[in-house]
Amino acid sequence: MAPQQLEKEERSPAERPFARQLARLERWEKLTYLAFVMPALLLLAVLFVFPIIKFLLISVFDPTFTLDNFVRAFTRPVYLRIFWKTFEISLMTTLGALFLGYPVAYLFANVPTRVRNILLPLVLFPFWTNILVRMYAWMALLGHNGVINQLLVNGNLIGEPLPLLFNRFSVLVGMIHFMLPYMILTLYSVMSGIPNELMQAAASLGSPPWKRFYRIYLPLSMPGVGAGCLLVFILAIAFFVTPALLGSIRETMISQVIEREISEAFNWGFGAALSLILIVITTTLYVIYNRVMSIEKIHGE
Amino acid sequence: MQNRRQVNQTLALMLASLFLFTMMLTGTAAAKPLTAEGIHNALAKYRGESLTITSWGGSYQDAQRKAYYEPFSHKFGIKIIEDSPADNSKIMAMVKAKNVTWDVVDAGSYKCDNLGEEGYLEELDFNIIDNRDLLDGFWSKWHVATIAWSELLGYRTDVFSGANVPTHCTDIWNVKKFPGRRSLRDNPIFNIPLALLADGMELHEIYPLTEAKIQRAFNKLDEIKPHINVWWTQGAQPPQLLTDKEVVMATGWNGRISTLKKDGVPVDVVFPGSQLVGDSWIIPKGAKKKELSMLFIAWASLPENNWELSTMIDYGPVNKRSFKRLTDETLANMPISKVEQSIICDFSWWAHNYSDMVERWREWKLQ
Repeated sequence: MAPQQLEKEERSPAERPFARQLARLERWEKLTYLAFVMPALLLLAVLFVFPIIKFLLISVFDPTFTLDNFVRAFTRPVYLRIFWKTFEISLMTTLGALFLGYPVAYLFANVPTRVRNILLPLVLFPFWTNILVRMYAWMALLGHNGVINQLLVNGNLIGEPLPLLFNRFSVLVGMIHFMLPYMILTLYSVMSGIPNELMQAAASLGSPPWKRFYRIYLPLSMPGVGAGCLLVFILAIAFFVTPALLGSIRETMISQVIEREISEAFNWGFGAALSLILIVITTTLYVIYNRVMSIEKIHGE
Repeated sequence: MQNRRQVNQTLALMLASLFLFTMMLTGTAAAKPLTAEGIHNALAKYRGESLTITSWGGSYQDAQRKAYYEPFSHKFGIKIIEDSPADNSKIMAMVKAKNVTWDVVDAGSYKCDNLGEEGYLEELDFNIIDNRDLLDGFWSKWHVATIAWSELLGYRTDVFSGANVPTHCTDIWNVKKFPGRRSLRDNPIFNIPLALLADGMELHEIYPLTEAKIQRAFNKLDEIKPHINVWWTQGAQPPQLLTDKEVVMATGWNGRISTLKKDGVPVDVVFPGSQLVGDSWIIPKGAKKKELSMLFIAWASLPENNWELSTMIDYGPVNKRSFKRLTDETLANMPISKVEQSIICDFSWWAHNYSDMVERWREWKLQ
């Protein structure tokens, strides 16, 4: 009954001009916000979007209009194989980062602030270290005569050194190591919004720990899982340094091919074509994700 | 009548000899490049200006600075602005944008003809640069080589010593006699000729490469592929791998591996079967100091200047007349003293086929 009365009040002639004024004020507000963002948007458009579009156009105007570069990318089986390999490695990286990062984020969200303030820098410091330094550190650790193998062999735990470097294992270790902070921080930002009271309420109603987690916590953390996985996957498919330094030729990823084509083989058109394919794939993934999950849930609008 | 005929004949003879003489003068003047003195005089008018030279950084550029840039700067009062690393795609971007900031660039010799024919380089003026004494194949209208170096085999002397040392670069195929982890480059330029050598071809038969030869090389490479533990991509990797004993045999660049030897690391190099390649000076098209760049290249190619770099790093001069300025000891480590045992890289073949070969290599390595 009360809501109906309110509606009637709103429709009274005395109230209607307010509604229009309100709409105009809202529009002005939006324009003001746009004006604030305009300089940054313009900078982005001119210095980022425009050069990238110009570069991508080389893939079809090489110099005259031609689709040869795309035909080559799709018909020669080696490139499809490399794309597939890139997805494989990126997917494994994403899952690895998820399984390792979820418990850490859970810990961050559920410990007292004091403890969290000690643990958080442990995640952030490697995040701020240069990637090349970290990859070279992995090479020193995982090598045939590296720290790990020397410890194991000299400690008589194994006879022969383990093949830990220049294979799929080392690439995944390097990539997951790099991606963990992204995953942990994304998950944590969502998990910190899950009220503790929900779990406590379920416990007080007699629910066992695993069931509590499965029915309440996990679904609520899903937006974080989705966002984290998307972020890590998109970063991973464009990765260059880790597979180049830590991998073997069986771990060649598409970004290495693009780099070779542009800087060594001078096939800018072909490099641009491969880049465009990568961008289309990334954008498609983002659109799919948008449909499946609601973006507002993550940004908290 | 006879008098007139005589006069006419004499006149004709005089005119002809005058004509021939003028032709000779202009002919030799056109063919003769500048001498050292000519270069010095021409450089006098550039005093106070600057020149931008781009190279590869590291110990190589340090040696170049001591051997070329500083002496040139002091002698002619021209400031040399250095940049690194030399990147061919950057040259392409600069030329396309018509904003060329590099004047002289040190580039791999096998890319120069390709870059030049695509229109990214200035043609060199051999009225200024003296190319008569340069090693064959180490110059063209687009580039003049500055050093000759080798891609060869390096190995750990604490693993292979005494009678059981690799003596030929193809020994990397011999897994039984020389067991252990190995590394090859992730690039066809040395691997294809080396595979042909390993398959029994003679040094001089290798270039030009044909489809049959390439197929034969890939078949031979299939044999060694499962034994290769690391495929290196950067020049600094083989020395690092050998130092860490990550591998016991690796192909690499002679200067970098020899430096390890001098530093006391137990490694040695194998010259027989190596490939002689070079680095060249090039001038990007539209460079602002075109004539000064030509004069610099001419000066650096003079026999009295071309050898200094070799005393600091194991890369050889390309001017045949500078060889005798090196001591016998230095010469023994120089790739140019091992020419008979080396494959001489055919730069123009690679310039035209590099792109295709990179793709075929990519396909082969992912099989």
